Amino acid sequence: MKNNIKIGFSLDMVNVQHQEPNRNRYESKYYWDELYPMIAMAGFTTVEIPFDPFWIFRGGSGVPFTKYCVEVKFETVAKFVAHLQAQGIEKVAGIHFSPTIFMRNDNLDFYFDASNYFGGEAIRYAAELGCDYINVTPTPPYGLIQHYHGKNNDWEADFTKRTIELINNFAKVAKENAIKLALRNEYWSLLRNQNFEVFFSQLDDSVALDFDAAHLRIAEQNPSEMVKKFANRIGSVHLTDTAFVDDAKIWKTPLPEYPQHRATQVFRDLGFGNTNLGELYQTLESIDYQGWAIVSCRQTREPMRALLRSRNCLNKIISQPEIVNSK
Amino acid sequence: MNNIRYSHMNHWKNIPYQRIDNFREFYYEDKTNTAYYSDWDRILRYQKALGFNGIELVPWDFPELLPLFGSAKAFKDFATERGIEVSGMFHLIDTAHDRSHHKQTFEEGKQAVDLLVQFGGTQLNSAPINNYFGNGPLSRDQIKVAAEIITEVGKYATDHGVQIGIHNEFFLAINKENHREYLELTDPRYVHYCLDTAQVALLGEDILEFYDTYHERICTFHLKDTATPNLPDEIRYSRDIEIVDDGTRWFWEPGEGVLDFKGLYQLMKKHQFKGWVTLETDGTPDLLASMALTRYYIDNELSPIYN
Repeated sequence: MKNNIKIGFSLDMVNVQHQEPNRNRYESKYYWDELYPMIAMAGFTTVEIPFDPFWIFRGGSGVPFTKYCVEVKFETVAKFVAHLQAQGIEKVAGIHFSPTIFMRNDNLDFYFDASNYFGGEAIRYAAELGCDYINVTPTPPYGLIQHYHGKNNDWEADFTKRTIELINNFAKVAKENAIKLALRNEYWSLLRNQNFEVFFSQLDDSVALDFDAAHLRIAEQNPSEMVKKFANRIGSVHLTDTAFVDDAKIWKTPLPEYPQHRATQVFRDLGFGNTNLGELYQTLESIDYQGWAIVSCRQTREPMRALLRSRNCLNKIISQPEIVNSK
Repeated sequence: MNNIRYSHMNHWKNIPYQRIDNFREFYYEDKTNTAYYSDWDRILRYQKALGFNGIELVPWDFPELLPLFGSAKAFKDFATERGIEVSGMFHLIDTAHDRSHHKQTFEEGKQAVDLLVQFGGTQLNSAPINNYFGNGPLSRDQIKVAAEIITEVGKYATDHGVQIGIHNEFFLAINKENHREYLELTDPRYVHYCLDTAQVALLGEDILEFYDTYHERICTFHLKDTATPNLPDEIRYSRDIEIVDDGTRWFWEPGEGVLDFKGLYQLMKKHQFKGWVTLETDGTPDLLASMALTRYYIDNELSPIYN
């Protein structure tokens, strides 16, 4: 069946923040120069970039996670895009911005001011890259906010109110830059504890939703049903996989990607969890979805392998969805 | 008791688990070595096994480490149970050359000292200023202003049982031409020096002559080697040069570069150095291998000279 679903791959597969042997190579330009053509060789000609302000403060050598780093190595964003195109990557579909990096003390003004500033930077970077969308993580993990602000009994209400203001401001900047803004509601979000539809109704009408299969599954929601329910508000889709079952309220802990009671790789390489990606893909076809579906293997142990595993999985999904469903 | 106590600089980046109890199960999920580098319990045990009984922390550890453990004291207790203590912490004296920024710079220094005290550490090893690129060359007055603020932070540190040590780096605005002038402008009662052997050699100093001259100021060491001492100005002054495009390494394990560590240990014996010596292997692809390699070098080449 022919469709207009556009597939891309997220560079969040390169985990620069956590330890593993040979991790240091991720910080040098030579690694990225080798990676880009491999992405294309695996059949992905579009990427999504995670915006990470750490790489402004840290410097960096070719890590493309901020405009600053790209300009240091390529002079302009346009030259970076041309460099990608020469390596077989035709487009940067979108940027993902998470304000979690700024949840690091008990000063809420610091969090919202820094998030507002760098979120704006991320949107402007997206515009210069020629992106179609920006994904925004609306809140840091529930447990992380509670760690720093839990002593205030009313922190949830106050935090939600200011989050609405923050996102509506992002929506304004996104509109000015002709970028679609989509919220990526992770399973650990503060908003999971609230009536999301009430929250969503207070946002600018231009704000869309990102549907991430693994996150929805961990939050005990059916990705296909959610896609059908909000078909007219889909901003982007993430094809992610997991086998994790949150039976100990890990979503409420400060580091919910790392369940402390039982270590596990929450986000598996595509095809190595048990998320029903075949059904999701068929649903996207059935509603005539014409936007981006981005593959993300954010906790992969090896990016190059993740590319090939994902391609293998996608080939099965696209031609024979029932194979993937049968796990 | 030995005069030298060995510590390890924490370049592990974020370690996401306190302790993995289901180690075998976690390993079998993907059969990679990720399980071996994902919890503090094992990282600290590696250090203990290799005789590095201290750990020096860095500010970029804290956004995950503090929520993971709940507090600095909880981490301290966790490490103590495994025979490891926090020796110190890295810090940046931000925008030191601009007096209008000093109120914030001092506040940041104060917070760093307070946090280090909670961790139980005593060495606040501090980059004296930001990068040369974008800030250098400094005027004489700016050097003096930079020395003033680190002295102020040093007074606060001293009052709280912490030694602040100047930790110069080859790409900072305090550089070859003003490095000694800056040091001499600081108050020796409050400001000490952390001699990072590779950084200072890359800067263009003879580390043996520098240590012999300033041994009374030097309270601790960062032990690391380099194969490229005395870098030219155009490299040291260039933008974001710490991490190089082609993967060139500035830093190597002691004994794998060209620095004269045996000569240094002879001088440490001469001056009867007592304190922390911290192995730092930034840039290595394998921190555990670097730690083991260095332990062998220390035991077989350096300890026979001075321990």
